[in-house]
Amino acid sequence: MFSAFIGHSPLYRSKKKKNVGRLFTPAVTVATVLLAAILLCCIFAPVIAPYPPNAQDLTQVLAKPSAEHLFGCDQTGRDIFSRVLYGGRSALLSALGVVAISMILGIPLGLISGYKGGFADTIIMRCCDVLLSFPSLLLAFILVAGLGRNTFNAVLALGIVYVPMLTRLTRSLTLVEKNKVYVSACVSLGYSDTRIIYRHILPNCISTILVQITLDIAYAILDLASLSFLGLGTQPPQADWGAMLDEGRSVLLMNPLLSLIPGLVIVVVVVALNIFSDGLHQYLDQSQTALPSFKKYEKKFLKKKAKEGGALDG
Amino acid sequence: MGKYILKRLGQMVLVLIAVSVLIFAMVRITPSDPVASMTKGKNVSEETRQELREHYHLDKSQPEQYVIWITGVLHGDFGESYQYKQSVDYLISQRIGTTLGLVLMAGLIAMVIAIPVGVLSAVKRNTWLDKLLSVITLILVASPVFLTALVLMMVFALKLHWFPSIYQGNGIREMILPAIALAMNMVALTSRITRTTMIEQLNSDYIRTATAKGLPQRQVILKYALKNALIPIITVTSIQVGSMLVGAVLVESVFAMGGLGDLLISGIKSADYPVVQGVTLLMVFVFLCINLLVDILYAVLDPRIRMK
Amino acid sequence: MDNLLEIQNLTVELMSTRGIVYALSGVDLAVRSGEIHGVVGESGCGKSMTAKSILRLHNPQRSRMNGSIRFEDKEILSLSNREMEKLRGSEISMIFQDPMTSLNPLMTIGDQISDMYRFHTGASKAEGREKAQELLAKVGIEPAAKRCKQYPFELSGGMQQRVMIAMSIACSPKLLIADEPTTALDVTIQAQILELLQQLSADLGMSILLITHNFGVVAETCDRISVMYAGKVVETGETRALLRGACHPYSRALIASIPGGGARGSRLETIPGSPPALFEPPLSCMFAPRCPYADDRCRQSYPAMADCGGGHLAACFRPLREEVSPR
Repeated sequence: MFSAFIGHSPLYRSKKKKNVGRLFTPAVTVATVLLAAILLCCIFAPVIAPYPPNAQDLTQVLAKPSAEHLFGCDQTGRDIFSRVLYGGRSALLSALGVVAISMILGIPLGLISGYKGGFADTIIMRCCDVLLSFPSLLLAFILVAGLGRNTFNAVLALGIVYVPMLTRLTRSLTLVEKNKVYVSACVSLGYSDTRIIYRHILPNCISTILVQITLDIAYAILDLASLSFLGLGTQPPQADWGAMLDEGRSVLLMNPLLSLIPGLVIVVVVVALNIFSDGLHQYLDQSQTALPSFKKYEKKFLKKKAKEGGALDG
Repeated sequence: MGKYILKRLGQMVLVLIAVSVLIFAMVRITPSDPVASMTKGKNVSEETRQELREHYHLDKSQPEQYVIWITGVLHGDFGESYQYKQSVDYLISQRIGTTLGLVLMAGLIAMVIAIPVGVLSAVKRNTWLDKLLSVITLILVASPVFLTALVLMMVFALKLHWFPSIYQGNGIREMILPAIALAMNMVALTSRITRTTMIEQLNSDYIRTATAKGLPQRQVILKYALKNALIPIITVTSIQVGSMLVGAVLVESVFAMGGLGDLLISGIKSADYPVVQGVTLLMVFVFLCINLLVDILYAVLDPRIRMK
Repeated sequence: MDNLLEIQNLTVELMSTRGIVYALSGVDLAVRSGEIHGVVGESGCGKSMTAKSILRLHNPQRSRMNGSIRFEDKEILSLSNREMEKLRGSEISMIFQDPMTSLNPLMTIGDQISDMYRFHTGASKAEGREKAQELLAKVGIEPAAKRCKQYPFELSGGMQQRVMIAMSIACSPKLLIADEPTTALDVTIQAQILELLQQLSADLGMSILLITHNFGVVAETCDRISVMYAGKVVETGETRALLRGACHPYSRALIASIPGGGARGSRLETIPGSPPALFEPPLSCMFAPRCPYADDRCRQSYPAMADCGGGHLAACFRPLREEVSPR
């Protein structure tokens, strides 16, 4: 009998509403395909890569691109293509790790802060203020300084750096949801706070959080590369995009590909993630959709009409 | 107004205290022996070690060390670097000019490019020009600052020889490439924000009024919409300054500029606590000061805040 | 009397996420010089759309206009953008529903008034300031000199609407379009604003196109009325004649649903159903599905505007002739 009440929760209602826009517009489709391709290449790096990431071939030092070495070799004769693939594995895995840490900490904190208010809210928000008074990566720098320089610590540090932003976002979304009627309905039914927060408020906030998360993955890839570039993240000889850029800059004129290839891959992944996130945002928030011009619309309309007419004739 | 500034100043002091504790604690999260890195693995007698510990107050308890450090900071003394054996204030004063100059110049370049670009794409929204600009800004957002720096260096310094590839501390010419590299990210983000807020403003009621009054479009856009859009633009830009300070660290590393960033990174790598603490605290201080200035700027721009 | 403004067969199409909306489909409307002309109808019937069309305030990328809007001897739809800018504010000006958001929050009201005055007349700064004070005094904002330096958020809603009016009469326009000027205001303030508009119209010889969904407002203020339904004008006439003997079933139903219009204790009339969505161009009378008198002809073709006696026009195949009992 309670289902009638729960039916007021906007999430359940929105299922019935027909979504007019499409998620997979041409741009989003291209971005998704690219992302999927890169992801698969990185997952299957051991199968695809022609050489192990750390295999040195001193006869091939700084070799130009060739059939054997697609992008050439670095200073110690390691195959750049293979290293980019293996570097991608660690980059994507690490980025997911960063986002996972920030979600595990940030979302519950934001929900509690927004729903409970009062003392808990004040404490959590003040802590966020202090953390946010560090210029972005600087906090990660000193965390790494304290924890020690390696991949795991870089992921941990960035994960913590991303928490306050996510907490604030979740909190502001929670504050909006909290004042809606369906929450009062839940309270009047005697549901526990935990149940209301996780079963009712969170599902209604999650779509906006999801958009932010996809963007955060992109930022995490950039920030992890920055840390490695400075020698604060993944340490050589392990393959990593940021570290490869660092190694490449001393041979910028002799083999620019050593820097450019991992750089290019970073840009492609981050652009694709941005497009995907934008598309998701527009799909979830229809008011943002760009409208077609009259000409385009009428062309499409006429085509549709012609098709229907043809079908009738046949 | 005066009251408001005082209140914000008070908040800033509290945050700075919290930040200083945080910095101090985080640098020491895992126990490590700075003396080891000071002596660089050389075989040193236990007495010398003890002397070093005493000299740098490492024999005292952590709260005591914090009090010694923070008292020093309040007197303008950031302590002595473990690796350089020089006072941190001296090290900072040698390098701060480069970093601030770089950030300032990059910020200026960014604003001069970003705001016109953003306004243009808002006014011409959904046209091919807007789409082209948004593709360019998207790529700029996505390319890490050190990649931009490396590419600029490769093309304009190593290939074309228009600019020197490393910074030696003389002249604005040497600063141009690093500043452009640092600015690009901010150009992208600021122009995107400018576009969004300008579109929002252009759709608002008072713009409709201004148009219905017969004011020419140029005046409506620049005098009415842009002025109202400036507040959100400034907010984002002020947050951007934070990532520019960090971006400066990366750019300095590429162009071997020897600024605060290099000092910080070498400090981190050699567990040079006083250097790491000093530089970090200074950067946070600069960041907070800029945020405070921005808050005051709001009040200047927006009468609704000014008169509260 | 001459027609100051003559709209003929105006159509406006808008692009929306759900396809083309036929917002106006052939509006005919004439405003005589010096009169106050009311436009009434339910929300979404195209009243504001008509008003915005006169000043061409639609987003050009998302809308398409056809037909003719003649203002004096100018065809508004074929003016260049530059000419349009000159016309706006100086010859035709407009006030809006929500004065709170219609004023620039970052400029003093004095600056906002003098800004537009100076643009249209090329007056100096001092003249602009003087004019602003004079105008504020005229719309009853005292002491004008002090008020000039205030920001919109420091004023009440009624005061803000007076500022909007002051701004719109700065260049002595021949036509003032008032788009629901009192809807966002308290009832007592409403009456004051309407009185001010009437007085200004008489003093300056200015025509007013008053757009409202409130028949009470129209009855008290306007010389003539046009009733709109689903993107068309369905009836036009002298206020008194129309109120007494509306010919179109829609106008009649609308008048019958005014609270306090019927006899004491009688049931308040309502119109069954709701206005149609405008996703297709209308081919038949749009009111037919809700009309108790509709026959096959109504469902197949669209009635033209015709004199239905009493000197007023209605677009109906089966106009109602009998008079409503006077109040």
